[in-house]
Amino acid sequence: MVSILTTAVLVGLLYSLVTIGLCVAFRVLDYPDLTLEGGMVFGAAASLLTLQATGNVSLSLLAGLVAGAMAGGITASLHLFLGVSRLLSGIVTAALLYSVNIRLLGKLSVVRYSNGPTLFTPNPYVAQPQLKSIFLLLLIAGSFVVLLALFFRTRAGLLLRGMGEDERFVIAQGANPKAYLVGGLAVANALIGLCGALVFHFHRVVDVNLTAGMLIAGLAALVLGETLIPSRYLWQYLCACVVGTLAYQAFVTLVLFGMGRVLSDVIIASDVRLLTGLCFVGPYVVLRRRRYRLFYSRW
Amino acid sequence: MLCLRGLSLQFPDAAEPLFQDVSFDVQPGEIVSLLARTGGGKSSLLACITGEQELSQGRVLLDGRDLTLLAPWRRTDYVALVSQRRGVGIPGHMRVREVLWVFGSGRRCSFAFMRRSEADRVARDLLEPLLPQLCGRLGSQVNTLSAGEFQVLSLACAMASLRRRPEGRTGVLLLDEHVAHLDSQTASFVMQLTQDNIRRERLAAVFVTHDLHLATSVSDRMVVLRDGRLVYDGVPVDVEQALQLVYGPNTAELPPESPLRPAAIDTRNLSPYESPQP
Repeated sequence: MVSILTTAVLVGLLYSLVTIGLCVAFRVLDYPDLTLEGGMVFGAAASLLTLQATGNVSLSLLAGLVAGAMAGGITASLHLFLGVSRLLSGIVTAALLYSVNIRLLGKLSVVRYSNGPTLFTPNPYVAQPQLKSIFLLLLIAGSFVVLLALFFRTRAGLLLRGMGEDERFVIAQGANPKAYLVGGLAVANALIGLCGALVFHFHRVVDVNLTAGMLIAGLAALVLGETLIPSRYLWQYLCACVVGTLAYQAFVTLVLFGMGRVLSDVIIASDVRLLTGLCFVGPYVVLRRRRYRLFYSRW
Repeated sequence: MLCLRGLSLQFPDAAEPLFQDVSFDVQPGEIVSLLARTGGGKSSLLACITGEQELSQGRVLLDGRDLTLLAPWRRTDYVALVSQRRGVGIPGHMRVREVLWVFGSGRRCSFAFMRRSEADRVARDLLEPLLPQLCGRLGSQVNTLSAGEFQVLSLACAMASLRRRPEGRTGVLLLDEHVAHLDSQTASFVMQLTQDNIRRERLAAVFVTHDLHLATSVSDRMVVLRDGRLVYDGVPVDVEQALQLVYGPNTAELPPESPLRPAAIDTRNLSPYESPQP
């Protein structure tokens, strides 16, 4: 039981950057950004290639971050300069990146990185190093929450927050809203790309289908977090994203592996999507009206 | 001086232009009220000046320089809009302090960090001359402000953004029915503030309104659009004449219950700025 929970916390922290990235795109920028489907693997692949070439762990994580930011930039550019609708721009980028990813992985759909150090060496599945991994991931997630909370109190961050609601606010400050949208989506997807890199470092494998179901899982975690922690300030909201991811992972892991062990003929592994859906819809059912809303959910 | 020269706007799917060949000037420190029917192109004309809407033809000159060549975000040091619609240009979920700091801190580095004490100081400096009570609500979300407070905040933001313009250049304040939703006392208060600021900063102001009493009492000049054409540009006329200008000479033939009849408007829109009886 304890090991199940530890795994849930580990995986929750691992994926919390995705939730934060989705929060920036969906809530702060109010942009339905589906780049994640391709962008996360793109980050993982870039990380893998860098690690193979240099063996440097931090450089490899940085590559994931930059690759994600590029994916976000492509999505924003498709929308801004070619007039692709907001929803489609992310889907198109994800589709393009799927093929790019397979090329990056050397025409393979799954690539293992068995030798050499990663961020999580030694092997995270050994009992004791799990705590080290949790500590490391907590540090990463925490520092990004702090960094983003500080960033959203700078002039650029405030403009980004305003832009989600009305881009005339950005124009009125003499700033080009297009540049801000590109920047905002780059930030959101940089987090997602970095998360892809972390997932690769953790599992030592890059799978092009890594992101299957990831989008809805991230959104479920986001909604869950919003419900569990009603936020008045943005930093609370960012913390809520991390908590939501943890809660989501705990719920899914407990039901799948905890209850699944007892009721093995009732619950099967593919129920994970059903559980995700429940996590997503549940908060809406339980709390149909929220007393306080920092952002409008318009999607 | 703001000079509008031969402005025309035709939407691609429209048979006729919304307005065409509209030319008038606004001097610094002058309030020009722009009157037209609903849908007569008043707000679109303002949108053309801010750059939100692209003109089909014509030029907008400010101190002899062509504003239409500038992107909307390059015009904002010279042109500011205060609108009746909530949330235009001011995001509702942000806090009063944050909004005022962004507007009031000038063109700073994008990564300048908002310190609370500094933000409060900037916000107080902007609000104190307008409505000191609002200084107590710096931590509130803009959404929670009353309509009157929101208009004062809009005005403060507009004045702050116009203060960024280079020395000696004319600022343009566009007022889009900004007191239309307010009760008469609040409306007169906000209008008085607006007038004071326009006179003090010597702004060229274009005031769009449906309230003919207000238009006749506060403006220095009146410009009337009818059927997309400029039909009057001159000293403010009285309400009766303004009605004739806006709705055409056949106003008297309207049915008695029509809200467009002068009598109907006279009784409903009694305005505090000018008593109807001398």
